[in-house]
Amino acid sequence: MWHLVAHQGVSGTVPSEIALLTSLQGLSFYDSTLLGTLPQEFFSLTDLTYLNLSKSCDEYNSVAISSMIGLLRGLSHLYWNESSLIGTLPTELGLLTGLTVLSLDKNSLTGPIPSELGHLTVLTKLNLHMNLWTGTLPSELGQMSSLSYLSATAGAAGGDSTSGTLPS
Amino acid sequence: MLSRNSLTGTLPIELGLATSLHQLDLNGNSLRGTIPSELGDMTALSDLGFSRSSFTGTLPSELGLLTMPSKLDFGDHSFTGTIPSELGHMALLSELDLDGNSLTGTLPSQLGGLTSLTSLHLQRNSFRGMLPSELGRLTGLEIDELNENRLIGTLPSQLGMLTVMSQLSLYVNSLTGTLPSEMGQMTTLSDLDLHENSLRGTLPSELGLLTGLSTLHFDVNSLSGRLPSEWVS
Repeated sequence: MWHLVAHQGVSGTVPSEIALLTSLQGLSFYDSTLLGTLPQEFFSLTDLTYLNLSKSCDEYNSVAISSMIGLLRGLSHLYWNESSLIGTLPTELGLLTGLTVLSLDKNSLTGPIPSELGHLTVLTKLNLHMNLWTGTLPSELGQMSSLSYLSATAGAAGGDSTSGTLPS
Repeated sequence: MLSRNSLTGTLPIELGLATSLHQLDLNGNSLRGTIPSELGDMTALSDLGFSRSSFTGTLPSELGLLTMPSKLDFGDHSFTGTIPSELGHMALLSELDLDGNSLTGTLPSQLGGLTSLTSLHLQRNSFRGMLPSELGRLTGLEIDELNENRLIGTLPSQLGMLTVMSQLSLYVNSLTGTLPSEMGQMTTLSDLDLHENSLRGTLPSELGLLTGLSTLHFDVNSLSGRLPSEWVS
C-alpha cells in the first residue's frame, strides 16, 4: 500500500508523470501551493482511495473541480477544503459510489448541489459548508442512507443561499 | 446585545470600563482589528461572541482574567501568535473554539487547568509540538478537535483518562509512534479520526473495548496487523 504525503512547502504544478505511480493508494498535497489544474494523466490513478488536496491552492490560483474526477472510481475519501475552488460541482462526482467522506468546505463553489450526489449511498460525511451555493437541496440526498454528518451552513460574502426543504 | 447588525470598525479600548457587563454579543457583525487587552477588565462577562467578524493580531493574555465565561468562541478569525498560558485560568470555561485561525506555537500545558471543558476546537491552525499530557486532566471533555495542525510526537497514554469523550479528531498532523493501549478506556468514543499521520505498529487489542464507534478513520498511516476481533464480528 503506497502513500505519498507531501505536507507544507510543496509548490508548482503536478507533473503528468505522477500517473506512473500506478499503485498509489493515498495522496496528500495538504497545505501546498499547487499551480494550475491537475494534469489529465492524474485521473488515471484509479487505485487511489484517499486524496487530500485541502489548502492546496490560494485565491490567486483558483481552479474548478474537473469532471474527470469521476474516473477515480476507487476513491473513498476526498478532502478538498479551503482551496479557492470555483465553478459548479461536476455531476460526475455521483460516479464515485465508494466515497465515504466528501469534504469541500470553505471554497467558492457556486450553483446548485447536483442531485447525482444522491448516488453516494455509503457516504458517512458530507461537508459543503461555506461556499456560494444556490438553489434547493436535492431530494435525492435522502438516498444517502449511511450519512451521519451533513454540513451546508452559511458561507462567506452573503453565503450559501440554499433554500427549500430538507429531503425526507 | 448587538448581534446581526452591520457594525463595522474596531473594538474600543473603553469596553474595559464596562466592568459590570454580563453579556457581550457581537455575533454576525463585520468588526475588524485586534482584541484590546482591556477586555480582560470586563470581569463580570459570562458570555461573549464575535462570530463573522475578522479579527487579527494576538490573543491577549488578559483574556485569562475573564474567569466567568462558559464559552470563548474565536473561531474563523485571523489570529496569529500563540495561545496565552493564562487561558488555563478560565476554570468555568466549557467550550473553547479557536478553529480556523493562524495560531502557532505549542499547546500550553496550562490548558489542563480548564477542568470544566466539554469541547475543545483548536483545529486548522499551525500548532506545533507534542500533545501535552495535561490534556488528561480534562476529564469532562466530550469533543476534542486538533486536526490539521503540525503536531508531532506520540499520543499520550493520559488520553485514557478522557472517559466521556465522544469525538477525537487528530487527523492531518505528524503524529508518530503506536496507539496507547489506554485508549481502550475511552469507551464512549463514537468518532475517532486519526487519518494522515505517521502512526505505526499494530492496533492494541484494548481498542476492541470501543464498541460504540460509528466512524473510524486510520487511513494514510503505517499501521499494520489485525483489527480487534470485537470490531470484525
